[in-house]
Amino acid sequence: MDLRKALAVLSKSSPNAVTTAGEIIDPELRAIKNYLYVETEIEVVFKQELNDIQENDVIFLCGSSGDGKSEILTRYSEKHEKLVDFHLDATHSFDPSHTAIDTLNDRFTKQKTSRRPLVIGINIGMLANFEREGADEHCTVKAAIKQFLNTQESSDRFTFLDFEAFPKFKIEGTEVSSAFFNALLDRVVRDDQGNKFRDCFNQALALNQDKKLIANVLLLRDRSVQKVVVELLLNARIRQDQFVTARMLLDFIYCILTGSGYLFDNLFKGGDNELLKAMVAFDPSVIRNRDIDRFILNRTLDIEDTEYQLFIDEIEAKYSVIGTLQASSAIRLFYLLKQTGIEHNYHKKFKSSFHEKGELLYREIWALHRNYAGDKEDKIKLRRFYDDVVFAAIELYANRNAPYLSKDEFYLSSHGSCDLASEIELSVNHEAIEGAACKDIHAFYLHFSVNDKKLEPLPVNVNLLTLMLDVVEGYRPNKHDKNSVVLLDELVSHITSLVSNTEVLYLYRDGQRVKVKAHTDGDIRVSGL
Amino acid sequence: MSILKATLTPGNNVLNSYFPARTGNNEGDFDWDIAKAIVVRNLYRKQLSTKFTKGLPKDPENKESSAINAFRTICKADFKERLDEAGLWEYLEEMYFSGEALYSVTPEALLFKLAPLTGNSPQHRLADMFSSLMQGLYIESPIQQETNFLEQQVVESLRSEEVLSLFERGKKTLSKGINEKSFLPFLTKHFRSDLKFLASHPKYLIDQLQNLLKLYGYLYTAQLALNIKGLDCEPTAKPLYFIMENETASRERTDLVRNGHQTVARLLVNIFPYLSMSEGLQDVSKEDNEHRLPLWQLAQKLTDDDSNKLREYAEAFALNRNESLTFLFPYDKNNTDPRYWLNVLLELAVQQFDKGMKRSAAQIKFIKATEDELCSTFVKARGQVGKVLVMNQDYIALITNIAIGIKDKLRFHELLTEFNSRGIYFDKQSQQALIRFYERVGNVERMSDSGDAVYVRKIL
Repeated sequence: MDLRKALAVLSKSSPNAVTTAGEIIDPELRAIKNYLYVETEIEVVFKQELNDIQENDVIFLCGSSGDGKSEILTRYSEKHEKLVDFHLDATHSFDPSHTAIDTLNDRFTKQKTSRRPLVIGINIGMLANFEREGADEHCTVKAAIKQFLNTQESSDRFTFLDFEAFPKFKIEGTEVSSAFFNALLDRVVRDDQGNKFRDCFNQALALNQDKKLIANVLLLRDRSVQKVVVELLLNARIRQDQFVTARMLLDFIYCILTGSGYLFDNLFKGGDNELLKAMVAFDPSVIRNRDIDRFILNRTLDIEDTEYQLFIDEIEAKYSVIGTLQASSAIRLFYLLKQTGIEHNYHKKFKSSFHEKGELLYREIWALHRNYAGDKEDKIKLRRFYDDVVFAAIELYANRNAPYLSKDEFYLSSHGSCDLASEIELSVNHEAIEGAACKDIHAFYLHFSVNDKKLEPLPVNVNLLTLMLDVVEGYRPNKHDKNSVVLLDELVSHITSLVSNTEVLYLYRDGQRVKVKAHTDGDIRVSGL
Repeated sequence: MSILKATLTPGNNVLNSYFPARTGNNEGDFDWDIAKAIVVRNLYRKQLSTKFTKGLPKDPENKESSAINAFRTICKADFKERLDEAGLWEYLEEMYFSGEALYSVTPEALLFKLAPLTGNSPQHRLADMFSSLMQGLYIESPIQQETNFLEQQVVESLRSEEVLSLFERGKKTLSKGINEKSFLPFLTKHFRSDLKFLASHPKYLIDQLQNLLKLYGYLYTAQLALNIKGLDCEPTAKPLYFIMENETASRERTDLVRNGHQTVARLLVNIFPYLSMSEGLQDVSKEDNEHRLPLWQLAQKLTDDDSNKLREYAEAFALNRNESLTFLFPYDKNNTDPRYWLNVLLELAVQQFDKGMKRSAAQIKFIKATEDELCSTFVKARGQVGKVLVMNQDYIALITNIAIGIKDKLRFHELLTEFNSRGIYFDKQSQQALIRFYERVGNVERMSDSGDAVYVRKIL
């Protein structure tokens, strides 16, 4: 089979993209599909729950569309359908006069008499709709759903398995990995006999067909390239709040391999895939700094650069990337190879240009919060992060209208030519960090105290963290100009209201400082007039 | 007993209830500061004490500033008792008494704005609309504000009996209209809970009270126009489509035109005739107006015994308003349905303002005042589409917060339902824009890719 045709099974527009019960498809394609199947953590847990299922129980398998709910359910429905009822697609009804809610109502009513265990594949949104609009006779179901939506917890005979509770990415240190994505990718590009795509690939290689596709497969075989792609996917998840589902990933692999350009261009030029659309925001070719500008200028003027030529030659030999690359494409290539070492490491010159400080710090601090167990070294790292980034950003942002204030003074308000400030002491709550679980990949929780008063844990996502870094570096945002400013603003005004309530205030007017202290007997002592 | 006035005789069109605009309006009648102050007065049940106001000069021009000056003296004395160095007062004076500074300390400071007000001041009319929407709402004990001890002292001085006293219902200083039964019960319900929510965050109340009043001022006007002809049942929230400021309106977005201000504008002509006719039919004691009913309720309380009286009145009214040489009365005199005659009267009431009639100028003035003072905040002309309803980001944030209210967050879907119950609608395109706005602000949480699983948090 033609490689391009074989790969088409990955595409979301392929007729085989969605699995539904009882469907018969081409045996050859079915084989490829089976080959591509990766068992996930949620499936293991689901299998366990299914084996333990009791009379009258309900398992909700919740996820976004394309997560693989139906795929899992069809795999098990045949084996278990004698004892268990399966309701595959709760978002649909089978009768035009019925809504999806009606269909679910009927399901639960049926179960009331049959008492057979029930497994339902459902989208969280639909679950919430049923909680609101479902029939009153199913109030126990609705109550269980409500509890799950509020606390993410299952209750007695209702089990909820949510795809989002099984993160597709793992962060350790500053490293990201995604076992699921890597397994998928491996099955497509791996160079071994079990790979159903390899024969097609070798055939294309021998016939010298579809050169760009060949080069793309070769590039994607590189583990370090795979790592960069995984990092990009994580960024799409945490920076753009893009949900990453199995179907999307398969289609993504299809698009970057078979797109009209080379892998590095396909990655960043957008397309009819949510992940690709999110990637556009991370296109390295729009970065502007001295190194990159000079490189672009030199390439445009075609100034001879032997080092670059050697690099390009090696790339051609190694990955079959041929022809002259546009300057922007070359930069994307440098980015993709940023973790790859070859003989002529011309691209490494630009590594610092791609240094993503916010993301790296986020990953490091996220992992620190997750794994913190009182270790001395970690404690120092955490304290340094809180001091240098969080507290510094809070104070700088709060005091932006009164930059003359010293570090332990906190700006409260302005009244004509007078500014009011109070003392502030921010401290990390190490114990709270140790005790807190941090499941969600797109935020970690800050635990700190203001003047010995503990604050509620505060979620920080990568965008807020990046903003904090920018503030520390001198950026002074206004309320409307950037993402997440409102979050920082909210935090600061919360702290302001906490610290207003202190005994000591400082009054500033024309550079003069007056200290005002409230005594317990009601007197107000003034000094510095 | 009949709901109607004992003797019905055609007279001038009088309007004292349910709406602030009149056929003659002077500049300054629509004073939002006064409206805010009166809402605060009702909410806190506090007013400037008679002891305090007695000492003020009679001249209404400077009454507000002399009231503040008098308070400044009291506040100064209170501080002097606590300060070990009197020199700080100079600082405090600048901080809290220069310009408008006092008004940002606590909502109660707005009560000084009421110093020049008398029982007959026309500024009452705008405030009455909100008093009517409040239907007696007040907060039991004022919320303690998170504030520093200096500001706290200013608040305490203000709250002292020397300055503020309990405000009781039924006082002479009250305007006449506020005890009327609610015309739009659904809006009353929301206004009360939204205001109560705002009152639990005093700083936010200071910030947003004017916006809240302008929003409800428009919603009340529009919903009144949309509901006033419905005599068969209690009014309900009719859809009004808004767009966000940064969106473009296009002809394809039919809801913007069909269920927007253009419809409201066409119906504004009914408000004055309907309300004044309804008022003219009722007999209410001047003191507290407790029995004044909205038109739809009046219609329901009519009995067959009222038919004759209404018919006679209709004939007399038609004759009185007849401006042509021949008098026509094309109605079925044998009809015994009181509702038929009520409708005839309402029709006649509208006709007297028709184009070419001598009263038409009055109607035009009424509509212009309504459009200018109550609608212009939200009504914007957008190219070919014409006038559409537009909300800026401040209002979007406000309606989001009041819709979520005491809860932490709402699902986007539930949020829209909350908007709808206030008559605020967004079409699919605007909903996308809203989501984008919330995403930019950073107050959304997604549980899956489904649009049904998006939660929106408050942005206080």
